[in-house]
Amino acid sequence: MKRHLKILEHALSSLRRRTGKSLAIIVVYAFTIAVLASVLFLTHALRTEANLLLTAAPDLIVQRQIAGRHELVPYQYAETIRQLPGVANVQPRLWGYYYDALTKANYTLMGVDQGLPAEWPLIEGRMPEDIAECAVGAGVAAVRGLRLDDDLALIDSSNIGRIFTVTGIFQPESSLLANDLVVMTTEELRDFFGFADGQATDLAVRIYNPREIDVIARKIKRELPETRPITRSEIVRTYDAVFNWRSGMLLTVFASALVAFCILAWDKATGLSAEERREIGILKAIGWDTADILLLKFWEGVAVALTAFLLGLVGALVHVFLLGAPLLSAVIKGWSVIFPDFELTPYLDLYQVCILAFLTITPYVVSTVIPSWKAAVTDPDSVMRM
Amino acid sequence: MTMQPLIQAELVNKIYHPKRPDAFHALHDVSLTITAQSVVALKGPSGSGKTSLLSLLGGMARPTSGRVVVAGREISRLPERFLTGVRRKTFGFVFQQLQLIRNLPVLDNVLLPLYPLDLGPGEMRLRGMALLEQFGLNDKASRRIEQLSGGEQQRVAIARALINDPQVLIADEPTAHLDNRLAEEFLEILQTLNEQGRTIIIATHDPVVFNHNFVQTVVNMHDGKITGTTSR
Repeated sequence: MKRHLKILEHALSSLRRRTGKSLAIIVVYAFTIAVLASVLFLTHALRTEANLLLTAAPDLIVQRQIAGRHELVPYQYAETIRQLPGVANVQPRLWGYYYDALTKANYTLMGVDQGLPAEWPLIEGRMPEDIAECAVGAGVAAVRGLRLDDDLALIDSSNIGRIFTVTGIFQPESSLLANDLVVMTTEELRDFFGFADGQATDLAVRIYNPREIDVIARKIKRELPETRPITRSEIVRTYDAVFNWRSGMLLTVFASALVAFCILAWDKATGLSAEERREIGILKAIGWDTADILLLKFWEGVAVALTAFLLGLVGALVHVFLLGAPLLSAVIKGWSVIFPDFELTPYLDLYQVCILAFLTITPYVVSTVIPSWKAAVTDPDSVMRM
Repeated sequence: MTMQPLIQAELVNKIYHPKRPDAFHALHDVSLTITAQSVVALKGPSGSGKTSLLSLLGGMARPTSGRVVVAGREISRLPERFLTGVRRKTFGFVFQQLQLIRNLPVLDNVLLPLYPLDLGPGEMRLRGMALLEQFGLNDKASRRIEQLSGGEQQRVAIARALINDPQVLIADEPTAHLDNRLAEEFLEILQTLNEQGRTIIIATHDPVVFNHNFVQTVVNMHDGKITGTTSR
């Protein structure tokens, strides 16, 4: 133990004596780890966030498709589905996408009469209760510069401008789902989009027993062949796939940076300077064993790699969870004018951290020890000739 | 009374880079016996094989052929870890260029050979400070090596060589970079160490060293061979 401590102490002192080289490696190394960890943390946190928000989503969403095209769903379909054993509730939903030419952003317009789910709380104000009223997501409020009681002008399906008074703004916590929302009464929305009476955009279905969701989805499809039932787990999987695809793409983009770092690290770590070779020779000549030299180089590698890893990890945590990942969020969250702007809750996947540690620390330590081993097994006689 | 041989070299050859076009035959069938507590000077011009012989005698290199025996144990074929043990316990080295570690405090330089041993920091410090005091350097323990004069650095190198209390002190051209006064001072230190019972082996071409009265045996070398031995 004493031997380990003394050699570790000497390793740290060696690094201090080569401050320039040590710092250069640590900075580049930490930056690379910070980028990698940021992508992983952000993806993981977004996925977790989406999963949490979607826990309150309906068990099934039933859409209608004719010739593969999304069509409005007649209310009678809701009745048919309600009759199926195991179905707790069927709620027709009215919503639609709206392109706002003014801000070049897409909004989601939603008709709500019975209040929104509890996880979409209003930051201020109230839900719309009358015609010409609406509540908006934080993103919509931001791009249109809206505050409570301001007017929001939108063009309806008859190409006529309508003015809505903003009665509420949603909290940023729900912005992954509610950021681009404009909520109004159902009747108002029906009128706005020109939907016929007795038709909905889709149906939200609640099932008593979650294990029967797939069975009921199949039954709905059999009873109503024009429908497309989508389970909550399918939505979750879609979110996962999207985030995984985006993070994968980012990692691919950063792969070239990673390769550049690996080359630099390898060069820095493996290229023993004349000074280092001389020092190894001296240590051997004064009674250090090859194993002692390797232990010294091992501790040097561990100290650099661990410092860089921890700095990179902290950098990634600050970047993602404190600053909201300004360098990556546009790519991971989506290419939209209205980015969901919210503080991510720090979800750390220990498994992910361990994998990252293993993949970054181990190669560096190994690449530090191997060249030193080559130098350490040679006779210390060379030092006599320096 | 006949002194026991401490180190014996028997028909030792050393070839650098054997089987390569630039192979160099540094030592030719060299045989030498060094008794305990003696002072031996290996004398010869540059390239005569003094440093190569010192390396072999001190277990810093292995002969291409022949044997080196230290205290009755052949070290030329010892596995690396045992050879390190012999080197650590038996020999202390003072190199021509001193080979101290720059930017490291004096005391740490002296203590370096003790790091791989299982000694507590208190005991190590005690041993290091005692040696620095012996060489009048105790007030410079925390200075960096490059802040010392040439003579002081030489004394640090001796202190480091003695930290493991070795039987044999090996010095390679120790006065090459010292003026006469410092060389005399250095030789006085070696003489004291010899009087304390240590064997001293010096490679030198400096007359100040091999003419010094404390040197008991002068081994003349030329072209990798021993050409004669003078005992006083």
